[in-house]
Amino acid sequence: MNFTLLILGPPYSTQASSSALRFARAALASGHSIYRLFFYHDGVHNASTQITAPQDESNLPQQWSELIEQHQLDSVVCIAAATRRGVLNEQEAKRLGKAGGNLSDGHEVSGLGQLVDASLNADRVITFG
Amino acid sequence: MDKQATDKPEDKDILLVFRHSPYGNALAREGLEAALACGAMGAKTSVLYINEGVWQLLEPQDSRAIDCKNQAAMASALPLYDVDAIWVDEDSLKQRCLTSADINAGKIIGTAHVQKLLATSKSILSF
Repeated sequence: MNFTLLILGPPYSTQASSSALRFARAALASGHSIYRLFFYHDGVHNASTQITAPQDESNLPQQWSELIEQHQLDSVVCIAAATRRGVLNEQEAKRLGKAGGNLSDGHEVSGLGQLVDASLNADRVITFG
Repeated sequence: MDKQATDKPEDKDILLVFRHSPYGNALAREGLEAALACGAMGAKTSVLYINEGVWQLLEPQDSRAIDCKNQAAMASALPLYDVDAIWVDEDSLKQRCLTSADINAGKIIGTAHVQKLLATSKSILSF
């Protein structure tokens, strides 16, 4: 089955992001595919390079980047939700006159159209919020 | 009050479920923006207001004092984006002592129709 994951929860505050990550790993390990990861609402914080976890805790944004890299996943961060919350790629940061971008590797910023496309083309959409 | 839920949704349709109250966090607003995007892109789109989500349709509501956009006013834009299938869960209204006179949009449907909607929609986004 081909999944789209809609991730609304931020890292650490709730279980949502961690559950989504585990679901993604389990789905891929079972031979399913992932059409797209879409980070929206507070979920955009999962794509911030500025997040630093204590030594004895897992770094969720880093783990997302690793999973995306390993499986060459399509990952989109909603630009409107991310800009409001200070998650910017280099290009956006420059355009908005901010000090620097902080978008983790593997993600691209784009619009809600990518969520619509992903909802139409995946077999199932699973929301983690 | 019940209206027939879509019996045979086309293969590619999207249902957005609004479960949270209009203010306090941005889920209601960003969920609605997602619904408008679905409509704008021509996707066959339905929305379901359930649980605390029914408060989003409360009329009148005035959010100026908390510097937020009026959620009911934003929801009234749905038909302009060709999102005409707006469903409201009857039990959720009853539990909150609300009636059709308190909300500004939507067709009120019973539990069986809600279940059918959830069971037959191809893609469900939950906010």
